[in-house]
Amino acid sequence: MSDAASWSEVRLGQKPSDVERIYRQSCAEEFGFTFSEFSRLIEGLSEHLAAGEGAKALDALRLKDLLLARACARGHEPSWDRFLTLYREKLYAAALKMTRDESGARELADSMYADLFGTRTERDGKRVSKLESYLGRGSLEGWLRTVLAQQYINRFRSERKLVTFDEIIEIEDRREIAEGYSAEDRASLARATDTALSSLSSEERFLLAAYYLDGRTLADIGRMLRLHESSVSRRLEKITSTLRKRIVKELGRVGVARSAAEEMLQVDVRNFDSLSALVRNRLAQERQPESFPK
Amino acid sequence: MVKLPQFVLQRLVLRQPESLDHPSADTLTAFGEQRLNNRERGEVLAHLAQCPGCREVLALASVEQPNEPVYLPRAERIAKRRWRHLRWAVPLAAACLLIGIVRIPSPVRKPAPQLTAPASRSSSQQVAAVHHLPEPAKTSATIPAQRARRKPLKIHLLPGTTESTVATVQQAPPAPPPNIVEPATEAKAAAASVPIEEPNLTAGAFLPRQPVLQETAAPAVERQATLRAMPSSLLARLPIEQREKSLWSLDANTADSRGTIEKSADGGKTWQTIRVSAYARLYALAADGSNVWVGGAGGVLFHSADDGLHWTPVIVGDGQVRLSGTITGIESLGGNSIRLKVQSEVGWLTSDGGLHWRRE
Repeated sequence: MSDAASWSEVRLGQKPSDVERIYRQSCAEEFGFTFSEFSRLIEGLSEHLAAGEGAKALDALRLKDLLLARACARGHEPSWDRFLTLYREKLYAAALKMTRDESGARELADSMYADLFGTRTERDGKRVSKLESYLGRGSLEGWLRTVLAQQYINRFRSERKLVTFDEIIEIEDRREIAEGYSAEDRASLARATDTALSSLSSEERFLLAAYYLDGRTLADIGRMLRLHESSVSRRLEKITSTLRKRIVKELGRVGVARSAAEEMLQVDVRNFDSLSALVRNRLAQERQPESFPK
Repeated sequence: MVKLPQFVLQRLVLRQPESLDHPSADTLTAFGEQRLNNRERGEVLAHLAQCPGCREVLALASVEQPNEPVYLPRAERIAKRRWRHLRWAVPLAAACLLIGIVRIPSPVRKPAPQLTAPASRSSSQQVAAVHHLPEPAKTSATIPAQRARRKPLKIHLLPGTTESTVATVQQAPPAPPPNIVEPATEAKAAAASVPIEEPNLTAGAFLPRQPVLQETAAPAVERQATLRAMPSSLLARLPIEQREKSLWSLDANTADSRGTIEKSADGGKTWQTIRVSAYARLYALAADGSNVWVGGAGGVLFHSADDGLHWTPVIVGDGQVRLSGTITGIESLGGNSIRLKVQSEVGWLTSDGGLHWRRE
């Protein structure tokens, strides 16, 4: 206990009484944790918590969720029962929502359970449960959904690698969509657009990408950022108008007349959907980032 | 929503790097639940702006929860906070008003003379009369007539009403069901069976009037918007034989409904989700008997000849041009003929169930 206390003072800047307090509050004994085990668990989290926030960071943890997950990872039977009671149906419902197919949902949820239970073993024969990577920064339910989504996307990507010939032809045909300007104009336009995009904040670029590239609805984006969809709509309107103004300004700097710049910014609505399709295809097929950790 | 020029989107795509170190599931969850500090949130947002995979994960993981709090717009939140301390004011004012009414004897009301509308008005004139009431002369009938106008118009829209009427009516029912499309042949029958209510000009009450029959079929998009405004109480009043026919619903505004439509075989009591395509974005739907057509972005069109059990993709083109625009409306013209309304392009027509197409 004294070790844990000294660690707490040094690493998290909190008093020993704080660790005791949260040990009692979290009912860690119910999950089969002694105080020293609990202290070691907290110590293991130190590198993942925001540095210098002390007791505040510790209080922000979802301790009960964390203890449940770690107890399950350690093979604590009552905790497994509790976990299954709490999350079995929710996990299956989330899988069904993603796959929209009953057998696919069962398969996805089962593979998730296998990972959570820990089918992989280390050299010493110890089971490695996916639940050990849960750090308690968000809710356990949210974490389970996120891991499930990652697994689903990994699987979906491997299935999507086969592209039909028609699709390839279609993509190739639409590559020339930005044609119509001279090479010099296109280069100026590209530079101006890059500069204007760089001047946006991360959140603004995220909104643009989510709405225009991924085709998410305002409601979807609102849920992701916990904003009302009307707020998302207002922000998007503002970002697009700012972006246009900045592009016109940048083009003006390289000698393009305002009227010509405005003309370049005209949207060909007919091509908009096909462009979105092209963008989505390119994102899905050509620029696949690394798979999520399994 | 404002559309971005194509080259901006292209530059945006090119900013998506090929490989990234993804944030952990824990961090993404904490981001979605607003539990990160500003610095970490900024870092995650910067990653999300570049990484389509993590955006997809976040979107899939942040499904709507039943107990999820309602995120009001900022202005609404502020207004709510501002009035919180006055929450007792309304009951207090109501109590004062009640006391006042009890103490002051009400004057004897005389029956007002009736204003009657000409009996020979056509159906469209009848609807128009509700919205454009002639200014009455300042007689004793003026006050009741004005009262009637001040009341919200309670009109139950029927399939085939014009767009301008739809706009008015959509404000009236408080909880409209999603847009419902029923077979065109049934739409007219439903119109004939359900009375339209409009305000009685004399007393401000609502009395049933003659049903309004639309002589020409409205475009599918308008009909969907119209039926969206049809309250469930009105659906329940449809005759049994019509209720047993399938009703169709398409909600294009939610990601969860991507590629799906809904069908009700019991007059709107229960709905069954039908997955037409995994990836299609559907915007238009039309049904005629057991023939159902749905279409959407990229010119995708699907046809079911067995009331939604099996779906066949239909290629729309005339040998020279293939439709690639967004189908915004489908109009069933009876038999095997349908007309497609396409965003910013000419429409397409077929008279043989989709085998041959021609541009309008």
